[in-house]
Amino acid sequence: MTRARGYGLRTALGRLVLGGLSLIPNLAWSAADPIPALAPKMDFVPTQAGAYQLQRIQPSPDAVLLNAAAGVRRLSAYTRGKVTLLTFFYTYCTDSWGCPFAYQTMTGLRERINADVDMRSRVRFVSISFDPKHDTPDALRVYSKGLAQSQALEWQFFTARSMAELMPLLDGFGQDVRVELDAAGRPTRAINHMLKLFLIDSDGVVREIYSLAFVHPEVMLNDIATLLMESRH
Amino acid sequence: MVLAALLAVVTGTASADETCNSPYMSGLIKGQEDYVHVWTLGVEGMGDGYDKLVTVDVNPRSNNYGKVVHRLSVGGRGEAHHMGFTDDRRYLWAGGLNDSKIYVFDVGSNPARPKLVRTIADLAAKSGYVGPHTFYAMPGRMLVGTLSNAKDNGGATGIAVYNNKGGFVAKYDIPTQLGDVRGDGYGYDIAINPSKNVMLTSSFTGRENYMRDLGGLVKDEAAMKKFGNTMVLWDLKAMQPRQIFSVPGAPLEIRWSLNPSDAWAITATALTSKLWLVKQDGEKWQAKEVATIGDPSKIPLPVDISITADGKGLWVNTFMDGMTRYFDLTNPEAPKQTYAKQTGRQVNMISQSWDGKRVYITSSLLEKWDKGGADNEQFLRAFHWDGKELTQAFEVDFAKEQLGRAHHMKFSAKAASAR
Repeated sequence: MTRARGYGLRTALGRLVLGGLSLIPNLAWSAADPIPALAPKMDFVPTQAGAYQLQRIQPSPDAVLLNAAAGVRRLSAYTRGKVTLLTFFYTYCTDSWGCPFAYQTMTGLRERINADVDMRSRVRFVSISFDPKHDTPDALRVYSKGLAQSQALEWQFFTARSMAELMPLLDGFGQDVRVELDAAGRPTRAINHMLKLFLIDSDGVVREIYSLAFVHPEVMLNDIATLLMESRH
Repeated sequence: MVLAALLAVVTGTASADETCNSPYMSGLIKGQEDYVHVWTLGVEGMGDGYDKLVTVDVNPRSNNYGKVVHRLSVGGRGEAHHMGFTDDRRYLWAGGLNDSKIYVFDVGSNPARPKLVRTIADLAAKSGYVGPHTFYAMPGRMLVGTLSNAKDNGGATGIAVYNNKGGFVAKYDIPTQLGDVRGDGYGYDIAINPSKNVMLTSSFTGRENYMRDLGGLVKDEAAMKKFGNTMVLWDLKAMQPRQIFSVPGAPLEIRWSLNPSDAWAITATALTSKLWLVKQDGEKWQAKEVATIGDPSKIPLPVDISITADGKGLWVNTFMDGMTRYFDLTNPEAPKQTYAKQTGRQVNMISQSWDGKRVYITSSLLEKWDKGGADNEQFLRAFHWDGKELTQAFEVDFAKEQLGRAHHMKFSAKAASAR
């Protein structure tokens, strides 16, 4: 969400990570800013869990990823069987309305879910890094310490073996991302992305997508509870 | 009498500009826009005759300022009408009110040269609705507000939801009854407010009317009664209707104030020439008439509105008299007209930049409702607005350029242009 010149991840991160690729500007981005109205504000009583149906938006895409122990895993093993809240991040992200906000939201939800014995065994969180080069399995291990090892709510952290393997996953989820450039047009380490959290049902179908204006933890808890009620039936 | 009746049904179908996008998508353009994309109705015998996306360079620093830099025909003529960006602003969805096709253009890769990447042709088969009008971005998906239905081409219709990859997700009928309150089931625009968890819809008329020659339509009393007179408030999360408001005279475009401290929306009624405010009153919401646009007895036909980014002002275009009016919305309960100028012989859409300094106007309403002869101007006109006066910056003559009828506009920007 930082305001800076940006280029498509396919190109700029390709150069950053893979090296040698020419930069082709993703032109539509740079003159655009997010607006204050994007900041989440909740001025309503959430609709009661189970009193509504969440749309079946799209199947959750699959990919081969690396976990924090450098093990090769298929994502589909972690988007089924439980209700999954999935997001993309990078460990050194500092945008207050980006990854840190998502992290804060997820840790808050984790506390609430852990307090519910039934819910915590049927829900998982998944965080996937945008940056395979810097976010190595070791970096994930440090970042996720105390979260992934929790005995309660399952929280999986992944990175990818390469951008080539990650890009179809980003495209599949519709997670846009771009790399900031410095004054000389060189890629920096800052990765601009539209914050999105994906809620996936136990059959692997994306049922809700929360961008910043929709990050209302009370509503998210109700949505999770709604999907859990649905799966009981 | 006949003229009044004729004028009374020439209602606009319109909406477009930076402050009228779904504000909940990423990347609103706050600086200088580089391109205006105009979704243009084809005219038989004019160029290839097809509907097309016309891209105009609007950056004053460009050598091509005010020039058409790209035209992309879709190979058919289906009453091109409105457009909307996906939530990531990479793709522009554009609908045909007659053939019910939805075209998806890639404007993210190179906004100077949009590409057609997908055509969605299953709206009627999947939803039963026809006449895709409003495209309103939600995260990962598009709400498609429709005008009609495949069964009888009347005004009963609903909202179709597609995911960003073009897959059908769900449909929601506009209600005809909620408790003791009756609705008409008609649809037109969509606008949401996530901080209140509400969505508003408005109402127009069915395909049997909007695709009918105007001369015949106005002589048909039964048909003349088939225009929407309602707005509906929905629970956005549940996508369930909660309240039906009586808003007589075809309420069209809906604009929420984008000021985070506001919680109201405004609309204009085409047939009755009024501004209506929708506002929360305790737990319930209410719609009330707050202003008159021009002289309703002369049927000026407000067809498009554009709210300023701070929610303090509103542009209103009236089709029949070609007037562009500005209302001071400092008190949304009592808007006051502070400026008016004739900007064309017929004007429909009005779009403003985020900073309000640039205003763009197009001319076409519907193929069979546009004026005839010399009054049938077809253009994109750009104006500067200094808070006191609209000054024309350039014009693209869509007839001379053999393009067609200029309708909906959307902005795009290239690298670093807004710095």
